[in-house]
Amino acid sequence: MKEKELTALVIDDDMSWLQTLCRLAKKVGYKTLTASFYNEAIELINKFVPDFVITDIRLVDDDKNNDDGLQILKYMKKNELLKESIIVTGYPTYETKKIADELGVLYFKKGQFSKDEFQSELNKSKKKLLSEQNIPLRVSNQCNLKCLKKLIKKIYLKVCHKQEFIIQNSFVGFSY
Amino acid sequence: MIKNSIIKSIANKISRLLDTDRFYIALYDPIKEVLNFPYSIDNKKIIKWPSRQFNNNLFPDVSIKNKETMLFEDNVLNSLKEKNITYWPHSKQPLSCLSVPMIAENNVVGLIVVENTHKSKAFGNNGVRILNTIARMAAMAILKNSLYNKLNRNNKSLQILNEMGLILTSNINLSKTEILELIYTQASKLMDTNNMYVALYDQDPNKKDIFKNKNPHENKIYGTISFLVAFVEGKPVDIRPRKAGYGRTETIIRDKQPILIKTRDESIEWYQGLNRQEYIGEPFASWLGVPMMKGDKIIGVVATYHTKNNYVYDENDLQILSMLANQAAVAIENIKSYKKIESKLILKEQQKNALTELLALNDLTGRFVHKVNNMAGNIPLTIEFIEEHLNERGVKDNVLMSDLMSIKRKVQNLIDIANRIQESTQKLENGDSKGLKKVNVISLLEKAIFQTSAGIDSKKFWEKYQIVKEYLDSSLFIETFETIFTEALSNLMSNAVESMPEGGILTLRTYKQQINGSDYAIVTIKDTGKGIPKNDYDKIYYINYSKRSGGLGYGLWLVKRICVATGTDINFISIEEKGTEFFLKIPL
Repeated sequence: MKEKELTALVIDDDMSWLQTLCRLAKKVGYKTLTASFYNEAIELINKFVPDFVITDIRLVDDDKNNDDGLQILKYMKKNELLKESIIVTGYPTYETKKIADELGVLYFKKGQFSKDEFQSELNKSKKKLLSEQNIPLRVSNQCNLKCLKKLIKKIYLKVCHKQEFIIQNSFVGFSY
Repeated sequence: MIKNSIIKSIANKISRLLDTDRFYIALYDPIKEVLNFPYSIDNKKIIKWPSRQFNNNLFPDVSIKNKETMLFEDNVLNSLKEKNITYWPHSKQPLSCLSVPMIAENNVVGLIVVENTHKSKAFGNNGVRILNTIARMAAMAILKNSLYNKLNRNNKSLQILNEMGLILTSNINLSKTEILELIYTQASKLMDTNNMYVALYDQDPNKKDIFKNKNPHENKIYGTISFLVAFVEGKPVDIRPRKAGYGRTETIIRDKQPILIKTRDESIEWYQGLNRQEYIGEPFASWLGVPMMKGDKIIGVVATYHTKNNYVYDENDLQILSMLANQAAVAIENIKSYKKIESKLILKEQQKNALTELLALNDLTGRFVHKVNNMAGNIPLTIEFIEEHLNERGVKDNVLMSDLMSIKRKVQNLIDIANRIQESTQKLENGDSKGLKKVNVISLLEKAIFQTSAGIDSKKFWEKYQIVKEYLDSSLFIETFETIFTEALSNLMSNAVESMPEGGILTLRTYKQQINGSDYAIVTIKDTGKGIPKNDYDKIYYINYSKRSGGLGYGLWLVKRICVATGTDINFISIEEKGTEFFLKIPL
């Protein structure tokens, strides 16, 4: 069976890093999308729902909070769009590392990792994503309504490339 | 002093109305029990008699004692002898004499004695009536005059106190000595201050004084007395400070009560009391000493004395000197508090500046490292791509590969250094942005140990180094920037450990110490390493100082900056090849 192509969104305001990270992702087999700042990234996320996100944290020089990249990941988490992601930062701090841990995101410091280390993590994530995609849609008797809604939302977003999914109350009547 | 005009007017009336060739006016001081003779005439000549002690057995003193008029017109001496009274003065005996006390509002203010050395029965009842009238008038005039003097003195006292208050309140920058000299200047306007000293008392920092308010006689003092202002016979003198002993100054400090000695006899008797010692060799005739009090706290003593004269000082002097002393005490304490607050403000300002500097440094290094990482961070990765590309194409070029590896290593080194600097400075900001925090010293030390061990290799750290913890006080809480202070401790520990590459003992001590009345937490970090060379003592806090290969030389510089920012004093002692001990003095 042909392996499904996964999409990686690479976000960095530094062009040379954007290229390097894309190159690394492509080598592992991801199709890549690129963004250099917050709004651009959000637009792409909503449009394409990427499987994988590689993001820098500080996306503009005057980002006093130093957290644009984190805000993107938080947005994805909030909207249940966050699957696998890696932070690559040139401005590592305890605070950002702490948030990355809370989001369950890998944290790489620019200039302090090798090609192999990074690609190994990309490969691990890829395997995980593929295995999740291959899970057949099986709904057990124990699956409650909340779980079911989540599952349907996932499928809908994937298939229809829609930005929003609202389950009406009438949906409660769905029978399985 | 009685006005001369009153005395002269009395004398004039006596000369005109009575048949006398010798007469005198005596003023009686009931406090000193002394008779003063402001005016005496003998055969039309004014004579000066010195003051003398009141004596019950003398004529005319009996007249004062009994408040009665005494007239002797025949055989004066025998008449007196019959009454067991001795005639005074012991000059030519009079044939008639008349003594009339001057009484006003039932108080005897003195007496007038008229005598005739040539004639018996010179005065008679008529003379008695005349002299009584003169004496009554004179007594009233004297009383009025003394009330006026009293009022005048009170006014002057108030004026002097007011003046002192004005000077003290309008000059917050007066020195301690200037304030004490002010006591001397102001007191001199009211009393005899030819011999005067102002002594300040400093408690022994190692032995606490004992003050029992209920039993002041059991009080004990162990401090030092310094004589900041001293005058002997009107000339300023230097008196060496002395350890508290058993003189009058010490008694005043112990009892917090003034001492007023009016006569030499009293002075001698005072020294006969328990635990009292005379330092000069001859007890002074008059001595007045008052405590300088601020609330319940005694800070010194003001004393003034007269070596020869009795009754130089009285209760009024005591009162005014006490007020001046207390005003000065309050001013000295206020200035002390002001200086304390001022130095605290300066320290806070320094801390604020140092912290701002550190935070700016953090921001700057952060931006710099960000740039380095962005610009150079992907060079090693790019080289890896080239390497891979060449391998895929089967290109084997050792020179090219070696050059690429060299570039990769150098860039990697550059990135490592930049990140180490940033790692170190970024700790300054995190967690301390909310400001000062009360933290336990031991918990800071423990965090710093953890940080140090993690920075090396935790397992190796505990294998190689023996950590001796002498935490003598577990209740020491300091107000500090927790993260940066931990960073300073950790830097010192890292240095200690690095100075013992073969392993050794790292001793950490903490205890409380009182220095100049303020409490401090002392933290010491001691190693058994190489020590600091003597020539480097002045350089260790410079930014480039490093004895470690590959060291960047900002560790101790940063420690010093953090110490300034947190109001901590840092010092060290070091012996080459034996080790170094750093001392941190942190205000509590």
